Amino acid sequence: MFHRENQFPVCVFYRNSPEGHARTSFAADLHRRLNGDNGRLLVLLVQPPAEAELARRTLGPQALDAQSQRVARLVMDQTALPFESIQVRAVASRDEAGIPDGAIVVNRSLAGRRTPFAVMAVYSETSLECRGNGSLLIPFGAYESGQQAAAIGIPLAKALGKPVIFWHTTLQRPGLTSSVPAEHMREDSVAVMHSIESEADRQGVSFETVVEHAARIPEGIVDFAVRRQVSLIVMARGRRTVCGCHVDQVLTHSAIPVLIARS
Amino acid sequence: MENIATQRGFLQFFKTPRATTWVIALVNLLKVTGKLGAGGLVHSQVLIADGIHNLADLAEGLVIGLVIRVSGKPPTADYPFGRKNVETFTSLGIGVGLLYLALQFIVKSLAGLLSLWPAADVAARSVASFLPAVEQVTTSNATFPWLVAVTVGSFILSMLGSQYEIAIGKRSGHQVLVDAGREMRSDSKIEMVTVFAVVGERVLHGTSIAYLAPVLEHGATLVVALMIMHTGWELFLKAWRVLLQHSIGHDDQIRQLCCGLAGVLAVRDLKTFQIGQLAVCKLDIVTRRGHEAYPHLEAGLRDRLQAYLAENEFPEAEIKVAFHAPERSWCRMAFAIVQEGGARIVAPTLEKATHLAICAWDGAEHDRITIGALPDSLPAQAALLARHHVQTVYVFGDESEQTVDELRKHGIGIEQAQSYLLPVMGLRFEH
Repeated sequence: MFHRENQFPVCVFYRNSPEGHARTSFAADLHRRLNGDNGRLLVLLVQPPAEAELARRTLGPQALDAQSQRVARLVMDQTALPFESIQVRAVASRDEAGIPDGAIVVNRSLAGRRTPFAVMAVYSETSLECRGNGSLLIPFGAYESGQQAAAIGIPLAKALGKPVIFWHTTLQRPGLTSSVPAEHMREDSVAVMHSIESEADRQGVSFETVVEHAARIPEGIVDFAVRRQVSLIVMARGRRTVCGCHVDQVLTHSAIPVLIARS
Repeated sequence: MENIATQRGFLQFFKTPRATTWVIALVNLLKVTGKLGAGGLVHSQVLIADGIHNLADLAEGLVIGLVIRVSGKPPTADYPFGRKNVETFTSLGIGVGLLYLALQFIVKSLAGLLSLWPAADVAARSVASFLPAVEQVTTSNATFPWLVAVTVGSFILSMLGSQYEIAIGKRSGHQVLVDAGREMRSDSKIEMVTVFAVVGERVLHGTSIAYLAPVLEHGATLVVALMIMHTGWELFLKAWRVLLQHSIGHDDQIRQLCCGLAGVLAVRDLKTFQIGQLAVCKLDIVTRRGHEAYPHLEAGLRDRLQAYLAENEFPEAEIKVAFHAPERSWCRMAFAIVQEGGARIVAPTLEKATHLAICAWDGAEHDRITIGALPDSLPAQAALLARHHVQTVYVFGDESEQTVDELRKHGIGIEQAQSYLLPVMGLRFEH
C-alpha cells in the first residue's frame, strides 16, 4: 500500500497503562486529524539490545513479530484506527528511534529535555478537542524561541484548521504611563511579533495577538490558556536558558497539552 | 452643562434600590386608595380583595426598604456570607402572607357563589358559621367610568412598576426586589381579571342574563384568589428552598462545565446552595495533575462557573474547590520473567520462568515491584502466588492446561502479555 509522505508524522512510545492509553489515543486522534487515511501512526517500543537478544534466544525469532501484532491490535482496539494505519516498531533506545523528520512524538518524559524532534506532552487528554474546539496558543518573547515555536505552530494550525493566538507578556516600561500593555513592549519583542504575524498572514492562518502584564511568564501563559480554553500550547526551548526554562515550568503547571518544538 | 449633570444625577437616583422602594410604595398607595374607595362605593368584592392585596404590597414595600439596608451590610467575621438571607426571610413572609390572603378571598368568593343557591347557602352556613356576609355589586352609569379608570390604571401601573423593580433588583443584586417585582407582575394579571369582572358586570346589567352578573363577580374573585395563591406559593417555595440550602438547580450543567476543563478527570462531589442572590458551589475535583497545576485549574473553574451562573440569575458566586487524586483500587499481579544478568523479559510460560515479578497495581501504575526466584514445582509456585494474593499472572506464550488448572484452584488467572518488554507492560524499574 502506498503511503504519502506526511507533513507531520505522529509517533508514540507505547506503554500499557491508563496514561499510556490516553497518550496513544491522543496520538491516534492527532494522526487522523493531520494525515487522514494517509500514512501510519508509528508506535514505538523501546527494546534495549540485551532484552532483544534474550528474547530472541528465549522466545524465538518470531517473538518480535508476535509482539508487534499484539500491540498493533491493542492500539487498533483502543483507537479505532485501521490495522494497516498502525506501524509498530521496536527500537534500541529513545534516542535511536529513527523518528522521521518533522515528526511529532507524543510522550511526556521526553518533553523535559532537548530533542531533535517535536514532543507533545499530554496529561489526561485523549484527543486534541476532547474539551472543546480551542485555538493554538503560541507565546513569544524577545528571542528566537517564539519564532521556533511559530515555525511548527503556524503550519500545524493550518493543517488542523485552527486559529492561533500569539501571546506576549511585558514588564511596565519605566516612566511610561500608558495602560495599553503593547505600548510597553521591547523593540526586539515587537520585531518577533511582526515576523510571526507576517508568517501567519503568509500561510493564511487566522490569528490574534494578545499582550498582557503577567506577574510571572509561565503562570501567565497557563492562566491565559485556561481562560481562553485553548486546545494546545506551542513552545520552544530558548538556546540561552540554562536554568528556569519556561517550557519546563509550563509543563509543570499546565493541564493543557504542550507541544515543544525541536531544539 | 450643570443642568445636564443635575438631570443625570436625578436619573441615577431613580436607579437605586432605595428610590425604587419609595416609587413602588407610591404606586401601591395610589392603587390601594383607588381600589378600596371604588370597591367600597359599589360593594365590589373583587375590587376590595384586590385593594387589600395592594395594601399588603404597600406594607411589604416599606419592609423591603428596611431589609435592603440590613442585607446590604458587608460580610464580617461573624457573618462571612453577609446578611443576604434576611431578604429570603422576607420573601418567605411575603409568600405566607399572600397564601393567607388568597385563602380569605377563596372563602369569600365561594360564599358569594353559594349565595346564588339560597337553600344550599343556609345549609352551609348552619355548619360553617365563619362564612362571610355577601354584598351585591351596585355599579351605575356614573361610577362605571371611574371603576374602569381605577382598574385599567392599576393594571398599567403594575406592568410598569414590575419592570422597574425587577430591573433595579437584578442590577443591584437584591433578590427581594426581584421577587417583589415578579409579584407585582402577577398583580397585573389579577388586575386584568378585575377589569374583566367590572366591565362584564356592567355589560350584563339590565339584560335578560343579568342574574349571571354575581357569578361573574364571584367567579372572577375566585380566579384572582387562585392567582394570588400561585404567586404566594412560588415565593414561599423559593424562599423555603434557599433557607433549607436546597441545591441551586444547575448541578448537571456545572458538572459538565467542570469536566470541559483540561486536567479535570471527574467531579467527585458537588454541593450548591444559595444565600440571597449569591450562589455557593463546593466542588471536589479529581485530577492527576500535581499541586502546581491546582491554582490554574481553580482559576479556570471559577471563570467558567461564574460566567455561567451570572447568565442564570446569580450575579455573584463563591466557588470553593478541593482537588483529589483518583481513587486507587489495589490489586496484585505477577509477571513470569526470564532474568539474565541485567536483562529481563516476560517468560513464555511459568515453567520456563526463572523469576517472578510481583507488583502492586493501583489502577494506574505498578506501585511496588519485588523480584524473587521462582520455586521449582508448580504447586509451590501456585502456593507462593496465593500467599501474595496475586490475582493474575502474565506470560508471553501459551500456558499449559496443567498450569492453568493448578493456578485456577487457587483463584489465580493467567493472561498473555501483549509485549515481552516489562517497561512496555507498565513496569518501571528503578535499579
